[in-house]
Amino acid sequence: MKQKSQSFIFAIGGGLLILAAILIAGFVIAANKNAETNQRLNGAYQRAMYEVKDNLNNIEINLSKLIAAGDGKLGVEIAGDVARQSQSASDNLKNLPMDYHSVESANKFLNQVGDFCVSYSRALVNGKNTDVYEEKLQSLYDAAHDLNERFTEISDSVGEGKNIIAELNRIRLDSASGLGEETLINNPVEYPELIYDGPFSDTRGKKNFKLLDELPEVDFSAAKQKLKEYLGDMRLTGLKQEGRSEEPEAFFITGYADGKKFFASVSEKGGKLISFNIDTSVTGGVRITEQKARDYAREYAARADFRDLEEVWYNASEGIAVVNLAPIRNGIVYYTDLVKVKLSLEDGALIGIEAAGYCTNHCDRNLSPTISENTALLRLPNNFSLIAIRPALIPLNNAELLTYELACEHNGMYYFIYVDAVSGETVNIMRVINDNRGQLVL
Amino acid sequence: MKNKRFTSVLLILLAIVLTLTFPFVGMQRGEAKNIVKGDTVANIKLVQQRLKNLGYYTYTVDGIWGSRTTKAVKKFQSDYGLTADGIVGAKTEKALGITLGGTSGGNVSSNDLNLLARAVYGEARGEPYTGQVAIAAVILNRVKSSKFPNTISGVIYQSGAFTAVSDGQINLSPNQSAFNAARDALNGWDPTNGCLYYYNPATATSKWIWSLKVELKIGRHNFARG
Repeated sequence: MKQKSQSFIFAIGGGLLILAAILIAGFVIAANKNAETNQRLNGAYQRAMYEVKDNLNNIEINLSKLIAAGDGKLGVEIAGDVARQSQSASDNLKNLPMDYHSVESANKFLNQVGDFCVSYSRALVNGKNTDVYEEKLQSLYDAAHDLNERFTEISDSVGEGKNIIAELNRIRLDSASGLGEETLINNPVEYPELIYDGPFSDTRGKKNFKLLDELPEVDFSAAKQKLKEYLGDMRLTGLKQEGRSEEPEAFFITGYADGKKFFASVSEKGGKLISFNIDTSVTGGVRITEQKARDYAREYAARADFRDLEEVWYNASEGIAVVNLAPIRNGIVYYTDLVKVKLSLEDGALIGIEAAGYCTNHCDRNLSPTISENTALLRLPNNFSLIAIRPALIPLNNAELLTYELACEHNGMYYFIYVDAVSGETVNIMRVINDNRGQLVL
Repeated sequence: MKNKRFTSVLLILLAIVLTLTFPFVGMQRGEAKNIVKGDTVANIKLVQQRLKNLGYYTYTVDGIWGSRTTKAVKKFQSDYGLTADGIVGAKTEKALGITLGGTSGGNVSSNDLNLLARAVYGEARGEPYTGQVAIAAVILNRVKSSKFPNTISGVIYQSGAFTAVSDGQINLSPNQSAFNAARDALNGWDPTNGCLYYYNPATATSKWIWSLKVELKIGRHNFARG
């Protein structure tokens, strides 16, 4: 009996030992795997950090050369290289494990340096006055130098074996994060303000809404009344203010339109409709024709006080049509002043209106192309067949540009090519992508 | 002897059952011809999803054509004044408001749209539809801002920017609503009028984000220009 219980204890003990061995082996394998993954991740972070460091070195050196290059051909080459290096630095920066907010100013600086250099080299190539660029080169160099120093500090610490994540988050790259005084290890980098001809220029502190600027202010109750007028036969109930937009200054209004929840934005100046959206993404099947949908869209826009607009783009998918409308004056399409109308193809009911583009840009203009249609057509690539050509005002960077729009086809693919109506240069190319959820223009 | 006879009866019965079942198995695998353009799984799924959105089909979207899908198509066709034959031809396709891919299966779909839809689904499923459009609009506003990376993927995968990336929810398959919200934002809809930040006040831990001035609240999210 005693022998039997002894062997039972041995069996249990043996079993437990085997189980413990399996658990330990499992733990060791998992820990190894974990260490390997961490090592790889660390390697990727270090690669990104050293690449940012290289890019910053090159940017700093090239900016100093650019100061000396003057307005010759070499300047164009160097500026091009700075643009490439800043793009690469920005790409690598986003791969580093740093809080996205703490790198905002550094990212802005890198984007601006690249963008600035593209504009500078364009000005050099076109023989324009480059004084405004050359004046800024020294301050750009100073900021690049400071940023480079911060990264040298980080890479030196990491080189000494310190933890890369801790080091990256210890050293400040900018002054914009509002993280509190305790994190101020060193002085933040001071980035210069840059005003030039490019999309990331600090041209405007606040966005300018041309249509709204001159209009008188309305209060919330007047804005509600306007909204009711704009939406005509829809029964609006439970209207309340859900917030206030600062750019443009506008009331965010929610409520129910014919019993369906909606969100709208109505400007404080003039009480114009900026956007309206019924809270639905699903409608029924298709019962109305495309032509009917287009007619409804124009009607809805006119009722919302966006008149004399023509349809410039139509897209239908999942029983919803989106119709883009724009003013066409003297044959020129104003793509800058778009009003987008979304409606149900089941019954033609309005689902949404978006008019931020119209409110930002619409004003009286007196434009006409300098070059002829035939000159613009010289830009039509070989083997492309032209479908239509017309003058069009398009948004480009922070400005508007009068162009010729060449709708064309090549190998079953559809394109819109935009040719500057003054210089005759191609300034933008868009391709129409068809997929099973509708059309996209990229 | 008795056993042998029993076995042969069993075999015959089995053969009959198999002969009767196989065509239906074939039908279920979408082998029947010309029911949906190209009879591809992708197109069958698209039809099923759309019918589901419209409330005609309540089962799993599995890309397998069976009697339930046929019944749903017939019901839709009769409601929309079409011949109720259960076949998705050009007229039914148009009435459903979908575009079916060609037989080559070469649907061109945009990476950006997919990624944006995944971010919307991971960050804001269950939120009001306008709240989903707003999330997509914030991502696109960041792409346009110099303070953030210049691509949709760069913005979405920026370190610590979105919880859906940190907790892996970005890898879930987006639903139709997330796709539509992403498309609306790409079409220029921005219910936030240019906001760059949003947070859920119930879960946000970052100190600085509370210092931002909230301009708009949609569902559980506060939106700020920054």
